[in-house]
Amino acid sequence: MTKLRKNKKIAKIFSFMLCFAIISTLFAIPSSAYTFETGGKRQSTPVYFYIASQGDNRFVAEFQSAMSAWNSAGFGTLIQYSGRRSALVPSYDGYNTVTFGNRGATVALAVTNITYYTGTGVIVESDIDVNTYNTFKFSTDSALVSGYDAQSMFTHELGHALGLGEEYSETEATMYYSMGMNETKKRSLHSDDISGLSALGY
Amino acid sequence: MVKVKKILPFFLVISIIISIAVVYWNYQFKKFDSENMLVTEQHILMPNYSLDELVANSQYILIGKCLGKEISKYAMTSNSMTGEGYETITTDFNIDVIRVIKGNLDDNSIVIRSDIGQVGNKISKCKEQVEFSDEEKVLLFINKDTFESDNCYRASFFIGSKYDFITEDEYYNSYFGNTIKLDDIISLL
Repeated sequence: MTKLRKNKKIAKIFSFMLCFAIISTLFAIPSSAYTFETGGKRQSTPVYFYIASQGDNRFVAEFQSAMSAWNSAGFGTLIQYSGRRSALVPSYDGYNTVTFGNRGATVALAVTNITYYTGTGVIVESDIDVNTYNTFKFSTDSALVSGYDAQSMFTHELGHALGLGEEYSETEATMYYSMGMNETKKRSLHSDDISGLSALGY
Repeated sequence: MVKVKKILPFFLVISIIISIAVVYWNYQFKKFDSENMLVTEQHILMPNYSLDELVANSQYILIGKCLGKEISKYAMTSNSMTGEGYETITTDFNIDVIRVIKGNLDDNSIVIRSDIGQVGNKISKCKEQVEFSDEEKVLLFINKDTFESDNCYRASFFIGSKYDFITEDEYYNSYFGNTIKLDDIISLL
């Protein structure tokens, strides 16, 4: 009788251990690969940018003005223009590049592709693609010319290149998600944009 | 009984070792996996767009229901009218056409292609691209995809092209937080 009780006890302990091993194994098996919602920031600055030689020369001056807005935000030189290079479409090729193309009536003014590894969250490349289907307005154009302000567009896109996302509530912010025709307010950074940079740790 | 007693500690040690090994392997696996997931996150700057423009720049307007999605793959994108494009990760959503509001659409079911998804260790993300859940009933503003000859279409104004069903006459866009009425669209045609 005592032997039987002991056997039962041992069987119970054994079952418990077996269950423990199975449950531990089940918990440990990965259910899916995980990703972060957004990328982090740049590991080092300045971020060197090239502009595709296929683009209109006037875009270069607008890009440099946009770059100055971020560089004078109090975080040192964040972006640096490195010259022209041939590139037709945005691609992950080791160069932060501004490309141009008539991407049609997909209505995007521009798209910034941020590439990062999920493990570190560090942005490794940013490419800006400008949809020349739209009419852009340059600083040298007369006030009568109507179009989307190229400098404002670049200022917004460079914010993404540094790791900032779209802003949905602060309509005055450079990072506000949409832009109107002839609107120039995105040229100057809003306190919300600067707070964003600070929060990213620049 | 004595044998069982002798074996018991052995089993205990073995099960603990197995558990630790699996947890460690899992940690390494996740670490390895996460370090190798390359994410491209698109941020799209959109112009301010009115309902008139949305209607005018959409070849088709329809009410449909999502039947499911296909496995992501590489396909041409940019939806350019000029034919300029490049390959990127895309996901196709199968949509059952319930009612066509604008355009001559003969197909009962169509594909909406979106530039998001995962192929291998590469992920493409974009908040402004349309996504659908199964059985989701929506109002859609779309254009024919330039690069696909089949019944493949693109949202004409990214996420601004998709309105969720409230009633048969009212639809809501969660991205912009606005509601539109079907009658308002019909009056613009």
